[in-house]
Amino acid sequence: MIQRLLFQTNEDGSVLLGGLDEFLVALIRDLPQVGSPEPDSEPRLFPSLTEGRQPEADADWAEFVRPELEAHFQLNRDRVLEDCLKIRPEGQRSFKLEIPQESAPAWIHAINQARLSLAAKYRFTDEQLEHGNVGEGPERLAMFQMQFYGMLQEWLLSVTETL
Amino acid sequence: MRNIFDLSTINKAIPSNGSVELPELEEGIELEQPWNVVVHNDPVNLMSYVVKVFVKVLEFSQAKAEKHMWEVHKKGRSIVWSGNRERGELYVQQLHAYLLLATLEQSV
Repeated sequence: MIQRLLFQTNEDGSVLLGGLDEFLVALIRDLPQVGSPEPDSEPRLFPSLTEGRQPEADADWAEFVRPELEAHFQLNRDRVLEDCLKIRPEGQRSFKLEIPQESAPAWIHAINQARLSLAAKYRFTDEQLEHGNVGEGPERLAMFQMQFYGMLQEWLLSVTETL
Repeated sequence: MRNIFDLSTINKAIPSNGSVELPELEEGIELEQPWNVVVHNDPVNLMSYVVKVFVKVLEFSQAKAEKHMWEVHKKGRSIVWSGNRERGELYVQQLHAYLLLATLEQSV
């Protein structure tokens, strides 16, 4: 049975995502973990300052700027994790997620971390990312995950004034 | 009409041979070329997201942000700011905080 997703903006500025099945809830709950830095995704999540043109400046960047970015990224993922604890059932097989207005930028950011991490981990090519055509197996699930996160991010961006 | 300048003071400052020697410029001092903050294309970041980041970090108008976003998308890169190194580094750090692929390059 196909369930209809519900996207709703409330008067208090919070946003409601309803009609989620267990599978989509699992993908949402997976978001903070997927975005956590791993060896495959670290070069993309923490780029250098000069791309190697000035090795000393790049080393300083890694030493002083990266820890700040790591802490900032972690804060966003923690916020998402906190909101995920409030996912509630609605009806028999459906769930809803309410994202407070003040959490929206953290969600947008955490989704970006997750999408970039998945693309790096599965080494998706530009063409695969554009058309979404990948083989069977984990790559297919990862591509669906990226597309679902992308849809969620696009929606959040459309209802959020500022980042 | 009264001359308000005391010409005698000026005359005293000028050596008897009538020429003024200027200090020599130190070698190696030259004007530094500006630094560019360059944003590179990334097939993952959504276009609407990149525009919002440009508006937020670089305080671009919506139209200017969209222009640079399209430049990144079509040409692979766009210089979004030029100036001194310190401020450039600050912008790159902020763009990295929003997960944009940005670098600092010196103009040639």
